Amino acid sequence: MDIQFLAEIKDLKVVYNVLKSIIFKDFVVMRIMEEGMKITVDDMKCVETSVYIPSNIFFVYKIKCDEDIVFKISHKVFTECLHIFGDDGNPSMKMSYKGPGFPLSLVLKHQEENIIVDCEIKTMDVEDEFPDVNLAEECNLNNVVLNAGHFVEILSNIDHNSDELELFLSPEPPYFRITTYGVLGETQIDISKNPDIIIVFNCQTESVSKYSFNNIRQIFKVLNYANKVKISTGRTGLLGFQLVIYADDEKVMYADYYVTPQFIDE
Amino acid sequence: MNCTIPAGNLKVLTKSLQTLSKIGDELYIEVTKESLLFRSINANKTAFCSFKFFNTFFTSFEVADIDSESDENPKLARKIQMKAILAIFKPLHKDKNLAFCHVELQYESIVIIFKIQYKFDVTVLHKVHLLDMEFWQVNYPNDSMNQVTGTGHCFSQVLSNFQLNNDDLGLEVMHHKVVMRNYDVDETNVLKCIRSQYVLNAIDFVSFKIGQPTNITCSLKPFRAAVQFAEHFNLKLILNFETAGKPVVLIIKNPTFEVHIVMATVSSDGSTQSSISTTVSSIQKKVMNTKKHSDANLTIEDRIALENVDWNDEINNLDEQSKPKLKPALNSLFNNQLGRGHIQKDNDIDNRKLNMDVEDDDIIELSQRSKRIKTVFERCYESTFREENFDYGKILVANSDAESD
Repeated sequence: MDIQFLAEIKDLKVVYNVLKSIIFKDFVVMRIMEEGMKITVDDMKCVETSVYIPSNIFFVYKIKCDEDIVFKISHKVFTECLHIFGDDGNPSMKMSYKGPGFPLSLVLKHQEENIIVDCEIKTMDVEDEFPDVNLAEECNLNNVVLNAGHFVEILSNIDHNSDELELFLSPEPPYFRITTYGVLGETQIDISKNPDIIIVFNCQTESVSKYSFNNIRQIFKVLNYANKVKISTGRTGLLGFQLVIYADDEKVMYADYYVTPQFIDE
Repeated sequence: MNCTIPAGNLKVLTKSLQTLSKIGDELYIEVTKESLLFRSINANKTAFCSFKFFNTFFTSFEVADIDSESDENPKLARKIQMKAILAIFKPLHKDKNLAFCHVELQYESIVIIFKIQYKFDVTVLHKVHLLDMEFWQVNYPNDSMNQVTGTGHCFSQVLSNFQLNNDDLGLEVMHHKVVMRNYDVDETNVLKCIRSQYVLNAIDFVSFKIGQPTNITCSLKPFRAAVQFAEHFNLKLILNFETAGKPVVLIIKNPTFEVHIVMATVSSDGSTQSSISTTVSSIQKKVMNTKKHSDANLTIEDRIALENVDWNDEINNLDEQSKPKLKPALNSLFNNQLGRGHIQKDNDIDNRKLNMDVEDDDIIELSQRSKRIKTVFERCYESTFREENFDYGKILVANSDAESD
């Protein structure tokens, strides 16, 4: 059978770091499209994280199939293969996939030493795929774009053992407020519309929702690699994070993250 | 109470909280008219630490009327989890965008509020739950007949020579010098234990006033914490102490704050008699634990005999002991001249310890015999027994040799 998909990438470092930081489930769904790759992981249908790797990140990106290629793969095995030479290896990689039932084959080449590693990761069919609802569309109530570097610094004030996180957005002061509740106490962070931190502040209606901190914690790891972050909320309280991650000076990767609010007893 | 701490002083506060966290798991906050006190005490109440920040430490310091302490107007003292406050101040350590920190504590409130203002119009507000509070008073003398003042750096150099797992520190003070040594009763494997001692002369200190030479043993952990703090801010450390069994008071002074660290010392009579020690000190406990496996029936005297190993003798005698060929090499290896102090280390097989093990067996035998004597002649060991009231009658046979000891 002919190879349906072939890709080559030279610098794996950022891709590996981002993929590693979204590990919170055993399996991920990999969707290979004309525009690039999308790797999605969801938990209990209330958290969904995706990483987009646009085709321009790849040195070679060929797809010989009219439809999107979708399969499930062990996330841990995949990221471990990418990191097979350790921290200083930084290999170049060739990916290929022949079609349903075939493994995803990776050929990793060490940049300095003449070592080539050939990996084959078994793929699975996606049975209960998360229905492809457009979550971005749903998060249309308010949105804020922040400078991720400063935002991460501010978030370091949060007690990581908190139980709940509340997000409050309002057109009036205090425009942007994050409150965490934990056993030891509560922490309230107010960020006002300062251009150094908030790049865009688009909020017409006041919105407040509570989220389980365990779910939110996942996004904090990926935030460390981001340059910009867009936080958006929907009418149902759905919270979305869209991250812009610079793989190098020109090439950009994206990650997004959606989390449903906690049930609130009215 | 409302006070504001400038960004520069937050470093001091963070470091002091780190020092306090090495002593206790809970932080006691007390507000007086002119100062804010942060205190902690360790679990077995052998070490106590108090940081007093004067109102000059703050950019603003407002206290509601607490002139008179009465039932209606009790002391404003509260307790919080150390973990909670450390989590707040630890990330601030390296943050360059800090503007100031505002602390608010009210009588009727159940939380203490820390409001941290950053540049870029960011405000972080922490509300930390207060815990149930029990009041305690620590009385310790501020002025002692022995007072040694040294720089934090000087003490830190000495402490760097001790192993991190050493628990206790022995201080032998003479009129013109101090001998500091590690005091490790817990070490079961004599082959692995390193004994260090450091001799410091009076000129190594800023001031050296010894009223009465003494030999004290205290816990190393709070001492190390105090030294680290003093070294970090380049401050002097004042050691106040009297004799064994009386507490050691370490004082660090700065125009804007003052630190007092009180440590219990092991009493020479085997019982802990320190003003802050209400429980058996850790040192004593350890002695008991280590001896348990051999014999739990050792009397207090026996234990003291075991503890009071004269190290000076031991080190001096090394040359004369069994392995004369090896010793000079070893001595040259371990007699390093470090700074102006003088260090001697001995990690050779500890001859004295080995001898002690042999003696241990004798002691066990002895104590088993004395136990038997006590069961047979129970009446003679009761507290109501008076020898003079006892009519021996006519002595038929004098005491035999074995008993005459």
